[in-house]
Amino acid sequence: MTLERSPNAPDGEPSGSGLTAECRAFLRAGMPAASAAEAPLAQHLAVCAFCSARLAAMHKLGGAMRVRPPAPQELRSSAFLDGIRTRIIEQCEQAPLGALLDRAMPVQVPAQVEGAFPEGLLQSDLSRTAVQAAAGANAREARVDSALAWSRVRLGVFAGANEEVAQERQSQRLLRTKGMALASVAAAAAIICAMLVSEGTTTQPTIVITDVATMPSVEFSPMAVLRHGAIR
Amino acid sequence: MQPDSEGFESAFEELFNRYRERVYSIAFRITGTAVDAMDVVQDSFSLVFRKLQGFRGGSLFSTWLFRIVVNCSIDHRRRNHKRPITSLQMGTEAAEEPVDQRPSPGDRAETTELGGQVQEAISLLSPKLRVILALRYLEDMTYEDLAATLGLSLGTVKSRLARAHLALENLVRTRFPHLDLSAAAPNSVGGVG
Repeated sequence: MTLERSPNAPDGEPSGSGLTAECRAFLRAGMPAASAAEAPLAQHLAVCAFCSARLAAMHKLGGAMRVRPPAPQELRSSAFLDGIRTRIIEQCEQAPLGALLDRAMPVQVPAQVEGAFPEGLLQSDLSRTAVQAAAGANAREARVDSALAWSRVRLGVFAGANEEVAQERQSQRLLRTKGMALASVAAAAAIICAMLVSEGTTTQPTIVITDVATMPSVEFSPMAVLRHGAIR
Repeated sequence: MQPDSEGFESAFEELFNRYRERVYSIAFRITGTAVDAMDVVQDSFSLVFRKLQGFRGGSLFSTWLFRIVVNCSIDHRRRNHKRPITSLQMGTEAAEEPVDQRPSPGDRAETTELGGQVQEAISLLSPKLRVILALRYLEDMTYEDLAATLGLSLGTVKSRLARAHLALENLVRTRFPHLDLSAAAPNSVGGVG
């Protein structure tokens, strides 16, 4: 704060010296006008140019500070209130209670769905749209190193096998050799190449089942879904 | 009143309609931009909705509400403190509505121009000083109201308000040296606020 009282400045302009006790009392009292101030403050105001100047300035600034900024029209729209409701829901979902409810009410997918599979979905652009939304418009142009992708699938299969072995070792220490057996057994990998998107066309999904030791002759794409099946 | 009780939603909507512009004004004074102020309004009322059943009526609803608004505004500024305040014009472009004063057209134009400059100076103050000036002048709060809303002692309120007055005047004089702050004669009864 650089606005300080100067005894030599008649209009109370800021200068070097500090405030007197009377000035401080006047400021802390909220700068009352002479007509409303208690006697000591009123007497001080009559003789103190510094405090008079502060009072005048604050009257002017106070008038400007009382003016409310104009609120945007959006504040009065129903959409704004809807936005508040949406925010309430989001905050509730992010709260611990929301997480608890999420765990308590998992989405149940029925194992068997009655009725025919909706083949029409496969013919539609739904999957393409979804993939493009997630991966961007250039997803179809992405190139995938098939050998690298396949090696990662194999690593995933073996890692899964090893994990099962580790669990097996913990629970059944006597079966130590089973892990080696499992790891050495070829796993079946089911490669579901779904959602192969190409320019202007919709391709039927291709399902290829192959042994983990053999790289299948399919085109790997960013949209290929790779799954490994049960260990034999 | 419980959130699932009949009428809670309509009561909340009524509260929103009644206080939204006052909440916006305080948020604008503290955050400095219309966009941030609107965000604070949404944050504040969503918090009010969630906490309303915990409001026991030990204080005025407005005291409780404005404390929430102040906290949301400060949190908002803290989150976005790296973003510089670039737009202070939204509060001055359109004609402004006085809270409790109806000046003449000439005075009004002068006050509107001064309002933008004062808002710019306020935005340079520390959050604490900004908050106390906003509540004091926009809501015409007494020292006791300010102490209750901000959870401060009466002495702290007085000294903080005095510091805010001096700091604001100093900023206005520094940034807008052409302004004549001595022109207005103190002729009203009572303190500045």
